[in-house]
Amino acid sequence: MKQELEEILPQVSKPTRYLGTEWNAIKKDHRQVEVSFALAFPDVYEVGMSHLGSKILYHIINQRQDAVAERVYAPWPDMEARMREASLPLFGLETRTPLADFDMIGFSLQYELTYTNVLNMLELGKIPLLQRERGPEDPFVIAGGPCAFNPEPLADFLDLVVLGEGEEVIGELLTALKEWKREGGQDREAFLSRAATIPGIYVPSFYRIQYGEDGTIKGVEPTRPEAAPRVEKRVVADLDAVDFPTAPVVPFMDVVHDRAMLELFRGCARGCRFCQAGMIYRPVRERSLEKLLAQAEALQRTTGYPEMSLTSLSSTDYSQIRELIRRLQEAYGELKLSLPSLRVDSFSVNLAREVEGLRKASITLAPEAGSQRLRDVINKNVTEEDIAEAVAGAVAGGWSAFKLYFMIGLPTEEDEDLLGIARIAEQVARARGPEGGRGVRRVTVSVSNFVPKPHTPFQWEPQVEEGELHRRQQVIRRALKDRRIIFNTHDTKASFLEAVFARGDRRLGEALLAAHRLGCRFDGWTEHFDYRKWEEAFAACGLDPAFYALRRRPFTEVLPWDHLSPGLAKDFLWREYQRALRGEATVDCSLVSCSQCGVCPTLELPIRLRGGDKDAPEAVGQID
Amino acid sequence: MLQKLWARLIKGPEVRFISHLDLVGTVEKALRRARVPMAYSQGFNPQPKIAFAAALPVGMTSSGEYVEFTLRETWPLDHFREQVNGQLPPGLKLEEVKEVPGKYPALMAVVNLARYQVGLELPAGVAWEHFSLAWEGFLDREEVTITRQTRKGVRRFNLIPYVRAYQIHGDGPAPITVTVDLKLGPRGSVRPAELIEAFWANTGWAGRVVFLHREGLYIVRDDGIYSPLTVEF
Repeated sequence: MKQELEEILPQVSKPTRYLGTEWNAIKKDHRQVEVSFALAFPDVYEVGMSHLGSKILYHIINQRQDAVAERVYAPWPDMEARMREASLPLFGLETRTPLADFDMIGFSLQYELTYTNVLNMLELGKIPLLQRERGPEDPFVIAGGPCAFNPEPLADFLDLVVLGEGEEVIGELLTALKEWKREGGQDREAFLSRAATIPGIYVPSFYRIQYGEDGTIKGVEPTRPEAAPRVEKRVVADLDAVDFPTAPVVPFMDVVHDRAMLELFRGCARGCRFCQAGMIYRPVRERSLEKLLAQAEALQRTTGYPEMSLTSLSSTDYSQIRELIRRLQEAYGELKLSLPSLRVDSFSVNLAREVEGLRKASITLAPEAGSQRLRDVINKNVTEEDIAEAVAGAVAGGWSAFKLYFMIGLPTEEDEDLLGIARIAEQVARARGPEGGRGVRRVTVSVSNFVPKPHTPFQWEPQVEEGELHRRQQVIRRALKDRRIIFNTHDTKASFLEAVFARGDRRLGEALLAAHRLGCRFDGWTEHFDYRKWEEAFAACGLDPAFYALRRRPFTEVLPWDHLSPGLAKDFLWREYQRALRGEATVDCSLVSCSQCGVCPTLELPIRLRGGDKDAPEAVGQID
Repeated sequence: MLQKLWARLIKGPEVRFISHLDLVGTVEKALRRARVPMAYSQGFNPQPKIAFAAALPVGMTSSGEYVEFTLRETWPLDHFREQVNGQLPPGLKLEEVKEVPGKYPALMAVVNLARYQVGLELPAGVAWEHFSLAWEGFLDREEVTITRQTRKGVRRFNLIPYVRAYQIHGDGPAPITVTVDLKLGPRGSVRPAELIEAFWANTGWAGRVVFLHREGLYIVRDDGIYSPLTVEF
């Protein structure tokens, strides 16, 4: 393996992707451990290495004496071609152990358009693609991550699925695997039966799905006593109590997020109705300031990164954000801090100005929709005033380039809302700083196509069809007059495919397999996405993708993910959907009052804020 | 008081695929982990003052890369070397460090020669004597034009003026090792891989490069060739 690889590497682009010798990489002798786990990320190295969840699991698994975790990413097509030529199997980066020699392979599902990469990686690893075709010598193939909340399109290929946060459940799973191996490790079903009793673990093959004549699901039925009728997600109650990767692998090459990451909190209670993350990661749980400072110190010592990102779904919502920033700046003068996911308000913009200065050429704001009416529909609680103040603050702060993010195809959207996008962009372009200040040099408007996601209030909504999306793009494009505005749109075919798989059911597994056989991979990458192959794949299986993407579902319909629960009550989602259609906003439950989403009582978990005047017990008290 | 250091860095086979830019980043991070009090540049985006004498092509090992570090405090040289080496990934090592006066010119402005060792596997049937003659004949020519794809388009230039000296080692069977001294200048240089490719094209031989190694960087003056760590200004 080593010799063959040495000959291949000089011939491929960015060979450092495949070295596995980065700083802080952990290399263990597989003979000295009882269970081996391949952390598989179905995208290229630069994307996978930017993912915090994988870093956390790498750290947690390798902390165990009895286990090893190695990383594996989708090889870029040039590398894949060389590997196939040389019959070189896909391998764990650290010890170059072939994928098939691991006990378990865990895929992180972040994005629907990586599903063909999952299949391709299994094939490159010489592992049977179909779950039912795997034998005692094959690894268990599992998955987690946000898309695992509807893993049904991948059901045929996965032995089990982990719902929710992995820190605790991964340990329970590995212990069960170790015991099963000690007992001989032959009967795969015996292991799956045991795993199914671990809360948060879903074994797709233990459920029978029945379809009605109209193609919708008639019923989902557990076929074994171990399989729960509804699998609840796992969630970490106290973020201070779980390990955090304070010595993450430091890549040689420049990856997408090439910086140390400090995770301030999980969950987001803003309640944006389009946002799956905001729904499935509830409730809000903050790390304590002391813990964060200790982790920052360790990260500084072990990584040497010049930059640290304060990550979360809405970082400036951290209740002690100012104090945290002050303490970090005091302790590490040269450390650059960055705030992803800025809220559109003057508080956030001013904070960004303080921590980032003018190091970054542009500031990114995401109003998401162009009119107040539509922002109320999606519950993006940002007013025209907020936007105006944020822009004024940014211009006063010296920024002259803006990136604005919007979605089109949102429920109830009309041309007036689209013109609102153009209006905001024009206002930003014309914004003037205080006396003598420079004006705006460039406004980049990025408009993505709304994809309704499972476990959100819009899970019943149809996606807007392609032709209409194109027309809406045109409405905005025509309304943009200012030459400083750059207008970007997203590929509607890719958004359509994303919508199909986001709310797909098990029957899509056949289409996935067909697409894989036709050579589909890296579907999320424009240069590799080939929709004609997908059309061929759907046609070959007699499946109509529009059934999944473009159909409005009634409340009574059994949705493919109804038996999987992030803790939300279905009637909360429906209530939110109805409020959306009436244009009624819902307030942030961590700030004002409980919106009865069901998460806290279901998971028996309070919101956990750490800050001065916001006090957790009171926020929880309102639920009762 | 600023402290200016010149150091010799080794790049081993473990890290030979790291690009020049990634190497700079890797060394920077090691310095931060080692808590070296680096001096920073001015401006919106201050950078630690680290300057490599000459970029090393990807895929090549080296026993003589030279780097200039500017510290904002004075550190003992051995301490600096030990602390940084403790934080460098396998394959990278500071071999020697020397303090130079602040008035010294920038390292990259004075280094003007690179010495490479090239391991070649000749096609079957080509004997060492054949090779030796062909190599001499090739480099005795007035002009060998090569083309290079750059961002601005295709650049054509004569590589002969860049070759200062060469030496063929051994006389036994393959692989053959050749030492080549190539001039570095403000207007660039020729890469050993380009030289070899032109040689194969010229001879029509389907040979193979077994390894590429940079032995060191030098300063050529009228009175001789110096290593950056022995030269005086």
